[in-house]
Amino acid sequence: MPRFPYLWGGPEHQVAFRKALNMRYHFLPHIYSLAHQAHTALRPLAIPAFYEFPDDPLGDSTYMFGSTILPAALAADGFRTPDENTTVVNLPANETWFAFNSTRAVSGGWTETRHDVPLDEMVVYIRAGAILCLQRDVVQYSDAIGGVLEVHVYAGHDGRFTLVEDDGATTKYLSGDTRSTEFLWSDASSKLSWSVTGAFSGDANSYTSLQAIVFRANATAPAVASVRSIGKGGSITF
Amino acid sequence: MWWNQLQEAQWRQALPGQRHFTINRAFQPGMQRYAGTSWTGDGQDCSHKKTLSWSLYGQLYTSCDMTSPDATILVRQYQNAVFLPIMRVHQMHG
Repeated sequence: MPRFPYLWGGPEHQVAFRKALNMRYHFLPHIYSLAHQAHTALRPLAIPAFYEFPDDPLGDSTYMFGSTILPAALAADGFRTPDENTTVVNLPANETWFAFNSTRAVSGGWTETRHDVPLDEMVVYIRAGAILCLQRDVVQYSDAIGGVLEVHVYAGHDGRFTLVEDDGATTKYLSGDTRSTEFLWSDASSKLSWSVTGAFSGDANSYTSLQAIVFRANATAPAVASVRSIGKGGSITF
Repeated sequence: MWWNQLQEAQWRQALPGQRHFTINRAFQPGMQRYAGTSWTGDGQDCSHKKTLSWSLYGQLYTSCDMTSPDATILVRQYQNAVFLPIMRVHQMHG
């Protein structure tokens, strides 16, 4: 058996591997910001749902990433499912859950089991009120990130998320050399606003412009708007 | 943990101002101060549950290694690891 996973399986496996890797890069700015939260607030990136839903009876057996991302458990997870194309996810109650990157939304309070999930599909739910900061353009390595930031808003509640950027290599962040862009979503006024603070002035891997996508529950399509320069602050009303 | 302490001290001497990163097989409470991350086992037995319990003990950066020799299960392990603190491929088969 060759030592390189990209030589295994068939063409459908190669497509699925690549999609998963691209998904990781897509989420890099968001994950990086969660890592900063871990450093400053000692908040784990991976949390049991009871952090966010303390009264949910399944809170200790449901996994979340950050406070708004709920990936399903897969068979390879060793957690619960019997085969590799079956997923199980407990959706906490009193909340609306969107399928990632879509307007398809369901109310929580039940356990979803799906069989025969296509090989390249990842079952991931996003909480209403979530703001995700994603790398829009596909890149091949983390030195090439930056440029256009894709901001996802999953409407239904007010939301906030702070994107944190730094030079990515040195320990200067320990003395505050970071840049924070705080995003706020006001659901009642359908407005996404942001303001930038911090000593770090940016480098080749920083985000300079922004594309915002707002997902409203079960709308026919998401709403998209772009801003050429993130600058020191701004807002978009949808 | 002394190993991690040593590694970090040497790194700081040799490359001051640069970030340090290492992946360890074993976990001692407190090693997260020395940029020590860990993986949850050589076998196929990683789970969300394991990563979560380690998170709650203070070790936030764990990796559910993507180790399966089966292509379909490996795809699912890749997908699983997208939303874990560390995404890493690893295998012991010869």
